[in-house]
Amino acid sequence: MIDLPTVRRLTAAALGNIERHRGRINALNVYPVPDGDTGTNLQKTMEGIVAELDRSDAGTTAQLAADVQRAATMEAKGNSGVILSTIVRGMARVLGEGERVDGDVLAEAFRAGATSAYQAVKVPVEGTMLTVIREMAEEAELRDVRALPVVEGLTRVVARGDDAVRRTPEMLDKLREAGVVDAGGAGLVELVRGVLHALSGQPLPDVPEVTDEITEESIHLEESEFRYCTVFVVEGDAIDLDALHASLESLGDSLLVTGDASIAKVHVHTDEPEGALDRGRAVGVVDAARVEIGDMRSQASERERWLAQLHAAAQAPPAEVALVAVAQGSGNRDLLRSEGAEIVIEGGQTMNPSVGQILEGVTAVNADHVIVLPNNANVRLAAENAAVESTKDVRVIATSSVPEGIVAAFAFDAAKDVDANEEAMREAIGGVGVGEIVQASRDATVDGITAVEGDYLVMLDGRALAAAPDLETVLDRLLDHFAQDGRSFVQVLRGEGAPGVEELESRIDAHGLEADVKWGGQPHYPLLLAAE
Amino acid sequence: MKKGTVLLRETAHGRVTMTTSAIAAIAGRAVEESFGVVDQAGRRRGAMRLLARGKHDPGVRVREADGGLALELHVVVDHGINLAEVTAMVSSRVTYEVERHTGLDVKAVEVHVDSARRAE
Repeated sequence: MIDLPTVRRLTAAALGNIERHRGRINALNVYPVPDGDTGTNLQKTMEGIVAELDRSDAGTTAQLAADVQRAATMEAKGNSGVILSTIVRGMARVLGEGERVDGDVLAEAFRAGATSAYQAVKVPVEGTMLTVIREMAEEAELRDVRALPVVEGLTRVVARGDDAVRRTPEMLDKLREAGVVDAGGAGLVELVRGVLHALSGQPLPDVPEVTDEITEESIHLEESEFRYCTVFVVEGDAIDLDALHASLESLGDSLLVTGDASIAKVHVHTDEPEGALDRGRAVGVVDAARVEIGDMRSQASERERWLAQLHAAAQAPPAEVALVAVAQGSGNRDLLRSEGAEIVIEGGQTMNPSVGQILEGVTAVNADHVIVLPNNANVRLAAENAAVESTKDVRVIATSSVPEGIVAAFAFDAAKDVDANEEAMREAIGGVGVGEIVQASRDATVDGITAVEGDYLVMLDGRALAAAPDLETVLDRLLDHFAQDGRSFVQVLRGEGAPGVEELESRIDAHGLEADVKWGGQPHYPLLLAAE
Repeated sequence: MKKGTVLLRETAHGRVTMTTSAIAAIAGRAVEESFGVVDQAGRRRGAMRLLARGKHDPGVRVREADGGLALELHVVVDHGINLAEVTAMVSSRVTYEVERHTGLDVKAVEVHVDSARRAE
């Protein structure tokens, strides 16, 4: 079955199919470098292999495999071509060992292709050709697939490849942001599909049209001269999407109208968000709860403020050690700054800063040793990754709330060395009790405590303590605990929806505790407390 | 400006600078994710290398050149791979990532293939 004419016919079929898909695959190419040549490179690499086989006079399967391997290496073009060459080398090695191909040989060949590719890179990136060849190998290795005749087995392998390609944006952010699947992976599947259809004699499916399909993620990468990013949903009986699109066009740019006759989703950048909503109301019902209007200019000025903060930190006199903290709420950030944090990154429970942003902060401070306070369990990992990425000596003290972070920052002394600071800060937070009061956004049971939507839930040291419809009840429960534990002093940070200062002070005083109440400004948590 | 730092841009608020070691870390990440590269050849060896685990090995040198950057990369490639294509890819990928992150022009990239072997 494996002889020169057969291999010539199958490689030519693979080449034929990649030629048909070249334009589509070039258009998908955004990773690793968006140069739009993936389809062309795969085609050139296959052309090289086909040309080499035309010249070959291999009389044995082993000789044929060696010719294919050499051709693949020599003719590899571009990133995808080189990956393809390693896959072909691995597969040819297995196929060259025997005269005939069955399900077991097919499985071994795909596995060898995958292994050969993974071995050729130090840090394999998933969501690429590597993922697709690996998943095709996994499919070929399934017991029921091995038992199938080759054409049927290969049909399953190609279907799995298609599925893997569809999932590549979930694995690789750059693809998701651009709203495309991986180009190299898509090309690989088309090569195998070409072989499959040459074997089965079935006609190849049509090439999908190259459409400039735009998604909300990709549209935000465009610069907009308009101020408000406006998103809403219209429900109706017979919505004409095209007419709705046309009615919105004059209001702004980055317009996207999706859905069907009964429900439409609108995304537009405009200076007149109300006008856009009116266009929606003209054709159906706009659900007020699902309207999102974002001020893109304030997002831009946030970036400006961040750069100014980085700049100020870089200009500060050199220090032995510097403190970088993460917090949500303007009051909290000011408090951390006044306790010695050189840079305070905006972020917390609902808005995690990126590793890159933490790294920017760590890099900007004028010190070789840096202590980072993540102040939230969800931010801790990003902080630790930034520590690994940084070329500086970075210590992460895993504070899980802002009050804990403020206690730690209070122990910070820029005049001492990093080890002394780390020890003092860890010791300071060791004896602190942390309380958090949050309003439940839905019914939930946490640590055995049941809260219905709208209830106040109080957490003590990260564990749910009590829930009640009013804030005073849960606050009293927390203060009872603080008093029983022998605490004497409570630091309170008021957030959105917090009771007044005097009310808080008298309530804490009633428990025999001393209070310091400050404005933190954090969202979602009316109160954050630390007790010593 | 301090030695080992590069000016990224001037803003209304002042200057934004970046250390060459931070740029080297960006370049190093781009190199190690490049297909065909199985390792970077740095100066650290043995115990030094273990101690520095997780930090980017200086298989990357960065310096300023003609108003931009010049990069020198030392790599170990997969045995039997097309060297010309792999080195061209490393060069274009590193240029792309460094320019994207810093906004500076990469004027030159030298890729040195120190050896060839299979990934561990």
